[in-house]
Amino acid sequence: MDNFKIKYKEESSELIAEIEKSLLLMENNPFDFTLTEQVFRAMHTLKGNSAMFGFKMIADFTHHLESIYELIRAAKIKTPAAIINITLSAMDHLSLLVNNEGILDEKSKEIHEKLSGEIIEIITHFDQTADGNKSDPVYEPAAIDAENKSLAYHVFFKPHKDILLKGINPLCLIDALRELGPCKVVANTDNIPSLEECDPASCYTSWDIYLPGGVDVTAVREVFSFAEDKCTLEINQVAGNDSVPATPAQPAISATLPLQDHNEEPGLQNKKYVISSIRVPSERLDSLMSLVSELMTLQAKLGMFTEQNPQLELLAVTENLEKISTRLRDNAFSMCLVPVENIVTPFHRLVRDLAAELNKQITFSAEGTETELDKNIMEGLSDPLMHLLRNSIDHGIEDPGTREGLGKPAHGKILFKAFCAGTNVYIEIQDDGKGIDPSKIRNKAIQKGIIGKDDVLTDKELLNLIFLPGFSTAEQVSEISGRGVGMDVVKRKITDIRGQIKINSIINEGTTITIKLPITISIIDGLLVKINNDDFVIPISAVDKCYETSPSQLLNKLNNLVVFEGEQIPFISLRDEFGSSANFGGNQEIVIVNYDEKKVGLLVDRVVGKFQAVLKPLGKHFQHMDNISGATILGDGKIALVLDTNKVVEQFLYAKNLSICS
Amino acid sequence: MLIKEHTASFLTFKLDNEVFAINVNKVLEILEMKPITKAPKAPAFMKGVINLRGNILPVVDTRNKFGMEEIPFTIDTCIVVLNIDTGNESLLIGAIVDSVQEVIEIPEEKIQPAPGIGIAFKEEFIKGMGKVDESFVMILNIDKVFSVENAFN
Repeated sequence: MDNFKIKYKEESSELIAEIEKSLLLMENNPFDFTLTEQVFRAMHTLKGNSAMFGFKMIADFTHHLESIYELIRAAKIKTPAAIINITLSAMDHLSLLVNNEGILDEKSKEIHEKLSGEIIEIITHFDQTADGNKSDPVYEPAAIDAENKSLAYHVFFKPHKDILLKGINPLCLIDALRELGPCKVVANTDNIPSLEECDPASCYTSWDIYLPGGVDVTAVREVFSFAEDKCTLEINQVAGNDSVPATPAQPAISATLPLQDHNEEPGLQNKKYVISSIRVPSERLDSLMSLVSELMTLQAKLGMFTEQNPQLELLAVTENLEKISTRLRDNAFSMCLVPVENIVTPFHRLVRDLAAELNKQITFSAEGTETELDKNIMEGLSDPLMHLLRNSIDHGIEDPGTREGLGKPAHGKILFKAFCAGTNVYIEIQDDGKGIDPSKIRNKAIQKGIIGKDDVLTDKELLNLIFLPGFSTAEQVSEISGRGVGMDVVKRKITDIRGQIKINSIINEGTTITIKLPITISIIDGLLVKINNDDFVIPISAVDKCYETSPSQLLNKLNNLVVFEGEQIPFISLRDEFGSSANFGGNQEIVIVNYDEKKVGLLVDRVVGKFQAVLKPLGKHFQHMDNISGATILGDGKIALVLDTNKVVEQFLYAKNLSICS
Repeated sequence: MLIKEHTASFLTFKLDNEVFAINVNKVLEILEMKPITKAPKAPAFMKGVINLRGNILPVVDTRNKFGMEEIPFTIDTCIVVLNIDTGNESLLIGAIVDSVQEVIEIPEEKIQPAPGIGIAFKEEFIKGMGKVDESFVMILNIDKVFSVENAFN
């Protein structure tokens, strides 16, 4: 039972999110009736689910809400903003109800009463203004059902074979029926013979036609009046429309039904004919991923073993296994990918509410929401993004008056953009607000003792100071942002999922924050290197180039600079850095990595080659070791540590207390 | 079936000349010494990591933790894999000890609280003193000794 409850909660949250999304869209496209339809349908399903699980309170509440949309739908009017607002609040309340399984504390009870009252008020009020066709203000479910469903007809129409020769086109009859009301027509093609036996002048098809309530039977008979003796015709009254979807005989046709009946009963739309996706608990995916990771490790082991014992059969097996396991890995990965849209949907709501609260006019748009990301990354992304958006709304976008004074449109814009490039996903949040003034940051930083009075910093470096702990430029701490959770937390959370964050800002033009993320976190492409006989992996994404160097090239070690292709590149000897005093002697290799758009060389003993590293955490006991982002197991069972090159360089700089200037 | 109430089993091991005891419930297995991958810039107490059947196991130097001098590993040196409870999750950790002794049973009444003074180790690390024959063994509170918070100081 608990399992079902969890499913119910999951599904309900999804439905609520769907309703919210449609409502927000509705706000901008008030005449798009398909949206009303969607809202109604989702509510209907929610109501049904809740009733099924015995959450009467939720079912009743939803029922009233649904009634409003039922009315709007029937009246074909645009949804008034007031109703949208109440529905949105009701959605908040519903998600609370769903999560607490319908149990409420005192305060929420009050809200419940108040909302229910408002909703019923709307329904009653609606009745008075509506054209009077709907007379029953109390919407008992049975009443609606009876009204809507009792008068449906099922027409079975089987023309005689020679009907075409009599000059009657059955399709015209069906078209005439359609004029009576929106009906569903299902063609029965069972009797059509194979092509050789088929007589093109004969009619083999029969039709099942479902007519909605309110159609006059005599009108139906009239349609067939000329054809009555040339066909078999049965007209039956159908008890309720719910029996309709069960009747169609042919699966091939019934599968296409939802498309034809776009504007019909909600009950029909929710029937699934083909299972195109299944729900899997995320733990199962996680364990699948870890198994695949094990397989990759084992694969590497086998590869090494085969290299040592190069037998022809073994080589073939290994090669095939490698192909298959790589495909398996890619498949398993793609299963864990979810579109960015999942986290963006709630942002629409956030922006809308916050903007209203702060009396700002903001248009929020999202691009590239179909971009996919590993679900584990996505989980870690929601909070930081939310925070960044809040910042943009609160500190970025000015109020309409100020904006007009600056010659900007009163409506501020926030653009959420996601796109893929290489093995990374980029997420950008752009606003066209007031931007960040580097000189303000400078003053603040001096005031807080973060930088000295005479320190020379570029604007970019100044901007990056906002990612330091305890740095908040907001003069006043407001409700929305500046609650002590600063940009440092945002940065840390992004770093936790192995992402990078960058900020770009032009005064009075706006701020752009770019987040660069790996597509997955569990397997990375890396460069396997040896340092003092230990194995390390440098993520390929950070690597620019590799060079071989002779000891003489490194002679000028004091200022740690080396010249390649006419460019001076500072380098760090990882041997020294990792506490091995002995000099290597022979030729070493330098891996050039990107550090904050600058190039830094990492001096290693030897570059072994490319390696696909299955990243495993070092464990909680090493959580303070941020120069190592994890470990991976090599083919021979040895462990290689995966370096976080940014952190290695940072630590080096911190120790040397010097700034890299290229 | 005779169930001995209030009696717990302990694994005893040696560090320097001291005998320590750990509740066997906390012990997963005992491994022979194997090559340890050092993590650069890690504190001396965090010895490194080993490959435990495809998983990464952090290994701590118990001698260092108790302020004893480092000695070269011998044939008796081994890694005791322990299950540490951090309050909200359990972690595995390997502890290097000089040698593993035996599994003994100590009845509850023979366990005395640790004397607050005159003991070389932090009081919170010691759960009690177990009397075995005429000598005492120190029963460790390994959740505390190897806690994540204590890993870095």
